[in-house]
Amino acid sequence: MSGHHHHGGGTAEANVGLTRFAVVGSPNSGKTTLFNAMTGLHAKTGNYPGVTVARFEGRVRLGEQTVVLEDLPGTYSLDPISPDEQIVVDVLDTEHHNTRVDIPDALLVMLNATTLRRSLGLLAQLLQTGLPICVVLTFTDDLARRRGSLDVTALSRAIGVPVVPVVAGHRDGVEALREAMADHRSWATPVVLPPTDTAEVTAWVDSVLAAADYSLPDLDHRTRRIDAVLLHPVAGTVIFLMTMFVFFQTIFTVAAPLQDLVGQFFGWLGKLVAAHVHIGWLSAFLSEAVIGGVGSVLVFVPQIVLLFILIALLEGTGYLARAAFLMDRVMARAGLEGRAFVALLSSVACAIPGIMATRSLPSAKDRLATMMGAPLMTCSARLPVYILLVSMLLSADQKVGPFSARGVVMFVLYLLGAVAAMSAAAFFKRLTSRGVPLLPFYMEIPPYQIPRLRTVAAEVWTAASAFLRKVSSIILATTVLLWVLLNLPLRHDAELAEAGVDTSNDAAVSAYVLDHSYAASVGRAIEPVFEPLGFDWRINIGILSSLAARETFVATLGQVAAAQTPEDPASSLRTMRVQSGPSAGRILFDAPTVAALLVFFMFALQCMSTVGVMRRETGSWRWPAIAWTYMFVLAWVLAFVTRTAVAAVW
Amino acid sequence: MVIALHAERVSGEPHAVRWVAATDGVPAGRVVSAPGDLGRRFADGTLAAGLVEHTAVWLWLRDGLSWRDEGPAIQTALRAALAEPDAWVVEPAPGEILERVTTDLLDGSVGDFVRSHGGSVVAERDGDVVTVKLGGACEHCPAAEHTLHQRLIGELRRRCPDLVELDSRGGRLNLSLTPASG
Amino acid sequence: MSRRHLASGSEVDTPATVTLADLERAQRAKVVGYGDEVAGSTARRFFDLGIVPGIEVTMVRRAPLRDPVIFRVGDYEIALRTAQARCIHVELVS
Repeated sequence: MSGHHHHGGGTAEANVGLTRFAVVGSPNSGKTTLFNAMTGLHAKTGNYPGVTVARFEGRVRLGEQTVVLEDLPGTYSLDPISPDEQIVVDVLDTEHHNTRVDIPDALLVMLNATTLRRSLGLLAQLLQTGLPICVVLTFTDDLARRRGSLDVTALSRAIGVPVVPVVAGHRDGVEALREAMADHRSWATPVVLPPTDTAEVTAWVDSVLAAADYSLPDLDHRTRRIDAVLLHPVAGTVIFLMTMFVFFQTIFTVAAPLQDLVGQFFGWLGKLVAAHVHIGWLSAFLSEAVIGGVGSVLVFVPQIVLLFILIALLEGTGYLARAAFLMDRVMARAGLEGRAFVALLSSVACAIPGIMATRSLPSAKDRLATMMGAPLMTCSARLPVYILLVSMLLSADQKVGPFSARGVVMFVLYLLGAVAAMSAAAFFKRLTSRGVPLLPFYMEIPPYQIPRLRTVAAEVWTAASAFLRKVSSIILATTVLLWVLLNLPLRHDAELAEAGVDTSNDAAVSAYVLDHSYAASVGRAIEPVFEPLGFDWRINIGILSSLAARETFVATLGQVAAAQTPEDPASSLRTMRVQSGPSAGRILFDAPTVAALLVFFMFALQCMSTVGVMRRETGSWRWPAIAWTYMFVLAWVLAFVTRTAVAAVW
Repeated sequence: MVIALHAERVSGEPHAVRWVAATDGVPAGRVVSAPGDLGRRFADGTLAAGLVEHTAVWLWLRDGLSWRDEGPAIQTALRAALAEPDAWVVEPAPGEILERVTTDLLDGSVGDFVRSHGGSVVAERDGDVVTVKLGGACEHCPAAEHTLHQRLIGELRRRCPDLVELDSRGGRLNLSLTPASG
Repeated sequence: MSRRHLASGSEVDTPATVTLADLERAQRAKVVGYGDEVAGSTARRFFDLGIVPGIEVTMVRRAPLRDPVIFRVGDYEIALRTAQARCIHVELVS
């Protein structure tokens, strides 16, 4: 997960006329932390034109003037090896100016004081662009902790540009930087540009470091000691598995009390509506469409937020890089790499931040393949559906050995989701890599850090707000629309009487209205598609609504159940029977049908938000369309197979 | 082995560049002639003057030329020339070297220290002797004198190992380089 | 050291190339160059990562499944797969 903020698309036009600064640096140079610190939570995003790389821009107020700050992708070199790095080259190309991206007026070059030898190579390349440069020197506190030394003034003289030391969390450095940014035209420039030949650049770096009295005698002992445990072949693997276990336990046990609270809140809200809203249809609308629909989803917010916090903490400490290192060999078997594991892990909370996490993969093909597999990871949205269906399939006291049968099935569903995701990613990687040479693998292992509260909060907020936006827009709209479709057309008493419905019996009236509603017409119309799976028009309505967002399936079924048997909706689902056709009379939610539904939900891409993020990250509708199609086909076929198999053995 | 080398600006002198490199084997002083391409640039006037100190070579461009344009070629030439230390012809200029190095240090961190306390410090040259004078708030401050002594002398010695401290009293340091080397 | 037999029958000592992949835990070495098979872009990437001739490297640890391997290159740590490590030639430092 990157610590960036996403509030819709930003346009370059809005920033015309303002001074533009671009922040450049290698990964792990503190770039994103600084960008966040300077722009606050007000960064806009979009894509660079024509490519699949996301773009982060924000505004910074410097006294009287406002300037634009652009966070360029992390790069090791202006000899690019990935689309991200190519973007940096394109943006800074003053000679062959790509008119669709604005050239910055000045650069803030982030240099990590503890990797200065390597980082100065990048600076030497950046100086060739001729743009005004101010070096921002980070991690000087780590340098001091490792008994290192550096004369910042001498460094500045040796490289010929200003150097501002900045320590995360300390205001002074950022203040000094803001002062420097107020007048970029006065920045010193090198009298002679550094050499470009590789051997000469190395010699230049040696000379500069000597002039700046640079020394770094100690290892990062703290990191060494921790890695001796966390990356130990045995202990490290065990700890990793335990971390994964804690991760998944959070989903079920840790969040439970909070979920109960949220559930109670919505229950109370429902009672409030029933007591005070006396307009029949409004009361029904509020309690079913709004509270029922949205409330049932918001119940999962505590769990999702907890997962996001866990991921942000793991990332902030540097542990996720170790996780990627431990998992790389396994991922390599699928043609991927360790960082893809991190993206897939994030998808367990929600595929949206998971897909965004693929940005950490340098290879565009890896990125795409992982994106195509990520939605198959069992995300939190599937949970309400799984819980409902599993409870219909198995009773609470059924056991498999010492474990509850329901628990075992849930575990199996999670496992199958992971296997499916990995297989899909492996498949797409192979598909797109035929004949193309593979990128060399390398991954910097940063020192352990104490995660900064602000960064963790920003990351959690980013991911959670994406989820909440989904709830408040897509899910709300879908449940409202469904409610309307389920309750229209309105039937007059005369109509009802003519159809033989007793108008004084509320249950009979609502059942009739439902049966003849617009939603029912649509549900029946697509019956041919889902009939082989054992779904009837009522389930079909649920599936249709779930294409927008999976969670709505539960609410939709709830509305259908309430409409058919208002006095006891809970048991209504169990007793529903197929109304017509060759299998009329059988219980609708029998074992084969429920199993087929479970499998269908496991594979189908039922989330408009995911489609939207995929489109944004890949730059076109092509890949989201491919993803949606292959997942639908897979879901249908496997649901059919499951149904047949379960019908044979159950 | 590629010689480690980088260029630094000289404050107040846009035509000068201080090329920081190990000058082992090259005698210190004013450059009369140098080997290879560098020597040709002295000969044709591209380079107006050169001064070799212990840890750097100062080069002055002729008026009208810019370091931005000439820099890369001169860097290559200098690197090649430093690989042939015996081919340099240099005339001793201990006073000038000491003055430049001292001024350089005073423009940098040593001087910053004094100025941050509200004082001033200048270097004046008389023949082969350079006098460093404290002024302003630091003029009669014994702590300032002591610090100046430690820091400046320490830094100077690193760059000019043959530094000799002559009589120094009351906010003035009198320095010289022994005539034999410089 | 491998011995190469000349046509005349006498033996000549040629130094076997040691690569990063051959280093044992905590062993230190100095990079001398890249293998001939290395693509230009890969060589440039090694350079940009600080893996340059003359820099000191240390093998820090292997992953539990033997691959990848963490090396200390200069002042920082980087993980490389064996396939990449085999391309970087080094000479041991005592």
